[in-house]
This record gives sequence, structure tokens and C-alpha cells, in this order.
Amino acid sequence: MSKSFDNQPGHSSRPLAAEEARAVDLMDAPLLGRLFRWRHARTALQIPPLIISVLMVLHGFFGPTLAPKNLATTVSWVHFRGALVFVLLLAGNFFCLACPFMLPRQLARRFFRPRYNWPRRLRNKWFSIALFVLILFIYELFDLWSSPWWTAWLILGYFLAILFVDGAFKHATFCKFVCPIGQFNFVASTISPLEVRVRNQDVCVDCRTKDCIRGRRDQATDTMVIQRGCELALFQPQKVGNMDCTFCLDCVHACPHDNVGIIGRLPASELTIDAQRSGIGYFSRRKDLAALSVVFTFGAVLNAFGMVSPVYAAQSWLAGVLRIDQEAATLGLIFIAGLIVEPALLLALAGWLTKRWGGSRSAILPLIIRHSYALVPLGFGIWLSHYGFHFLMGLYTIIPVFQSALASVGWPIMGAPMWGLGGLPENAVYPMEMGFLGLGLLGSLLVVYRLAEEDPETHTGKVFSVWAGLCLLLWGAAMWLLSQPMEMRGAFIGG
Amino acid sequence: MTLPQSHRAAETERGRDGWTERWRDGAQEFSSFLPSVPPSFPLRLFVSLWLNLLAFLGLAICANVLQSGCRKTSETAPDIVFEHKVAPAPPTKGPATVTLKLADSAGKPIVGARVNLEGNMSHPGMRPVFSEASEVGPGRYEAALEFTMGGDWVILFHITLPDGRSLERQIDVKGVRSG
Repeated sequence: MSKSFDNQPGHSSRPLAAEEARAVDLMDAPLLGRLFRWRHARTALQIPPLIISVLMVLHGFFGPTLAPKNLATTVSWVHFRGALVFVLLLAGNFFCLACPFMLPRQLARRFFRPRYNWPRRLRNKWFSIALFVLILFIYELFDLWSSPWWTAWLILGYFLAILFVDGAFKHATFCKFVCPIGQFNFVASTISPLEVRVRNQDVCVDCRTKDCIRGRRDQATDTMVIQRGCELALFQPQKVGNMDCTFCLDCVHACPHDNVGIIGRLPASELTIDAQRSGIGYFSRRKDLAALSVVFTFGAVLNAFGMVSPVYAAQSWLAGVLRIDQEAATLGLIFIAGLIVEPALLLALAGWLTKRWGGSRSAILPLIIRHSYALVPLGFGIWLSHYGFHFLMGLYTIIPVFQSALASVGWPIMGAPMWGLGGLPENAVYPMEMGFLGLGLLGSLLVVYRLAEEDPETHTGKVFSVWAGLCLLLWGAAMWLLSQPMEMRGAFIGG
Repeated sequence: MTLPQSHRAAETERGRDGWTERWRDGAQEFSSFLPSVPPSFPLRLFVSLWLNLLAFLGLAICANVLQSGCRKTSETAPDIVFEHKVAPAPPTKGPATVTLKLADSAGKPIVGARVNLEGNMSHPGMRPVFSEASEVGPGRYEAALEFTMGGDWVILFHITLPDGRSLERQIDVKGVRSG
């Protein structure tokens, strides 16, 4: 039996061993390595976000009703989202690692053990895509950014949903099949420069226990799990990329050979690979994952569209033409147009051109599925520009909000609130926004080119032109949107 | 080339969708985290959910009590008549003039009050703008305020009356146009 995995489906496109040896491994970093090896690292990293979450909920319910003065809205819609995209860009899915929602779930599992398996029909991303779209929708409909009360309910609802789902269903069901934030992170982390993966495949070949997925068990009984394996069913030797990986480090702690690291890689390179991925299968056969990528990208455009003035004109026009006075209806129509009709038409056209003009013999749907992943870097660039704008413009606004919150409970240890604090000036942020968009476009074009090269029977230049054209169209739309003056309004109709 | 036997076994154990079969024996996975004599599943689920919910609500009530106890209300002059006007109308991005009239319950203008304005966007994370109003007539105060961005704004008035009492008022300025 060969000990090499280089020719295995899951590893055909992996870096060579020599390159792996040169790659940065965060587990080798002096302080971080020790921290991540510590068995309670995740719990320790989750406690501060949990405390902040509880404060956010309390402040959301009982603090000021004005959003800029409330922790729930300021932290959720400015700092959390901004920090999230920057960490994804610069490192990896570390927000799932420090997810505060997991701590009450762990606590709850001390009292009961989940009994059921998640229904087979729901073991895909369709349900979480629907939730992701729902959150985008209610964000616009109820102006969540301006409502501490609703934001607090959203956070509390998240805690309760996790308790219910992971209380009833085994493993990390909520993370893998339900959590909308998690799906966002999974897709976005495909462009991250770090990945949790095995250091040396040869070690895994000789491994008998497979603790990284089975969990490390008590040697006497072999049934008592003393360290969990991967709850998301990602078997490390066959794992490719960051999709579905929460960076929870269970595999790192379970591996008896210390053979799992947090290793550097070329960002977005996994989008060009169509290997069989453990716990996922082939990207090219996953309609739900492709749909998630499409919603991720077009949702970024739609979310940015929601903060500039043309959306109000569009909604007023729709309301007038259709004689509708319900905001939910006109907003719903905009969502249907932006997340279903527009992507369907554009992708169908690109797929058709790839087949007719590019000479592909594949059917149109598989072509669309395969190439939809190429939109992810651009989609991430749009999210980054949008959330980065709010984050950088309001960078220091968190300070007076905390000062005020502490002062309001009679504990003014941070002094009087300095409400004049803002963030970076707009003329400094705007070039960064454009840079992020350009970075996203570049990433998508590189992925598109690699995919165009993939099929020897097609005309590489023509196939590249088709999908690059789609990327340029979306990039142009995003450039136009983000260069519009921001007009964050609550009331659409008649506003 | 085929997968090593041990890996194939692990894959098979995990099942086709990588989810069910691996844990067919199910609950053993979490046995180390559990008490030795667990009650029935529905009861445990119920108890756990309620414990978490009660913990949350308990914290919320404590915070509310604390907050109520510590809150110093600035609303010491409920009998003041407050009228305001924002120009231009409809409001647009850029400089604006906010005019305020203060009178007592009998309609007599209040002279000599100190009025500070704070403009915030409804979206968090935007730098607020501040201004101090000057008295341009008996009980009539005017302040220049810069709407730095289009969107929904909220203006807070921090008012100190001549007799030392203070009050706060808040007005919404919806739909400031970008230009």
C-alpha cells in the first residue's frame, strides 16, 4: 500500500511537501502556538465575546434607544461586522473559533445529550441560505441598524436557536446547517490566507486511531470521548480548504501526533480546486454551495444598494407603479430581483456563452455551478468595502458607548463619554474601499482564469472573457454603488 | 491509487454524507460531558432551555434595577413648551439651521436658557455633530448644524434653564437628502 496521498482526489492540487514545509504555521508561533495548543483555548477565547454579548443584550433592552449610543447596535453593526471581514481577510475563520454562542450550548450539553440526527433532507445549505437571506431582509425592513431593541432580540434569538438546535440534534448541526453567520464565514474564509490542515500526510497514513474525527477516547474503554474530534465531519487527511471549518481546534487537540496546524496558503486557491472534500464532496456537484456563493456575492451588492439613495427611488417607483403601500412587498420585490432574477439571468447567459462561444461540451447548469465559486473573491471585496467603510468611519465610536454604558450603571471607570470621537476621515476611507473592490475583482479574475484553463476542450480566452465580463459588470455596479453618497434611511416609501 | 484501508474505514464509518453513520452509536460521543444518571431527554431539554432563559432574564432584571437606581433624570422641567424648526425643508446634506422656541406653560418666552445641540445619524458609527444655540430673540434660539451625510438624523437638545433646571428633548430629522 502506498503511503503517498499526492495522487488522491483530495490532494491532487495540494502544495508539494517541500512547499508545505516552508509554509507559515501559526501553531509554531511563539505565543499563539502555545495558546492554540492549550485544551481550553477556545473556551478562553469565547468568554470575552460572551461577556460582551450579554452586555449588548442588556444594553439593547435597557439602555439608550438611540442606536449610536447603544452597545447592541454599535458593536453589532459597526465593529463586529468590520472586525469579522478584516480577520477573514488577514487570517481565517477565527470568529467561529471565538463564537460566544457556543458556550451556553456547551453548558447545556452538560445537562442533556442531543438525541437526534439532523434530518437528511436538510443536510445541505438551502435552509441556511434562506436564513441568510431572511436576515438581510429583516435588516432592511426593520432598520435593525437603528434599533437596539430589535438587535438585542436578534442576539438573544441566536442564543436560543442554538440551544434548541444543538440541544436536540447531535454534533455541530447549528454551525454546519443552520447558522447564517457561519455560512458567511465559511464562504468568506475560502479567500483567507490560513487553513487548518494536516502538516504531513504520511503521518496520517500510519495513523490507526483517526482521533481527528473520531475524538480521542479513553484507552481503557474506547467509548469515553476525552477530546472531541471534528463535529462538522471534516476528516483532516481528506479535508480541502476552509469550507465548513470553524477553526474550533478540536482536531488540533485530538491528533495524538501533533500533526494538524493552522497553515498559510494562497488565498482563494481552494476555489480553483475541484477535489473531493471530506464532509462536503465535490464543489462542482454541490448546487447548494454554488447557490450560497451566488447569494453571498449578489447579497453583497444588494446590501450595499440598501444604503444609497437609488434604492429609495427604486422602491418609491415600484410602490407607485404597482400601487403598493407596504414596504415589505416592495422590498421583497427588490430582493427577488437582486437575489434570484438578476443572478439567474446573468449566470444563465454566461453559461450559455461558455457553451456556445467557448466551446464547452458540458451542460449549462454544471458550468454555472463550477464558475459561481469564482464570484466569491469579488463578493468578499464588496462586503469588505461596505463593512470596512462603517468600521473605519466609526472606529473609535465604541469608546464613548462603553464609557456611557459603564457610567449608566454607576461604574464610570472609563471616564465621561467622549461623544466627539469618530473614526478615520471619509477621504481616507474611500480609496481603501476602492482598493478592496479591486482586490476582490483581481481574485475573481485569477480564479476565473484557472477555471477557464481547466477544460482542455474549451477556448480558454473566450471562456475567461465571458466570466471576466460578468465579474467586471458586478465590480462596476459595486463601484457605482459605493461611490454614491450614503443615505442610510429607515423609511423607504414616500421618504 | 486507492485510499489506505484505515482511511477508507474512517470514510465508511463517517458515511456517504459524512454525518450520520459515524455516530450511529450516537450519544457516546458526548459521554464525557454528561452526568452519570441523566433524566429523560425532553425533561433535560426543557430544564436546560429554561435555565438559560432564566439566567438571561435574571441578568436583565438585575441590570434594569441597577440602571433605574443609578439613573439621574435630567427631565426636571416637564412644563416647558418646546417648538422647533429645521431649515432647509426638506433637509439636505450640508449646513442647516435649527430654530427653537422655549416658553413656559403660560406661553411666556423663556429668556437666557443655554441650549446645546447634538446631531446623530440613526446608523451607529457615524461621528456626531455638536453646536451651541444663541438666543436671537426672546425665547427664540438658533443654531447652525452640519448634516455631514444623507440619511436619518436625530437631534438631541440639552437645555439648561435660567433657574438651573435642565431638560433634554429629541427630534427625528428623517430623510436628509444627499444633495
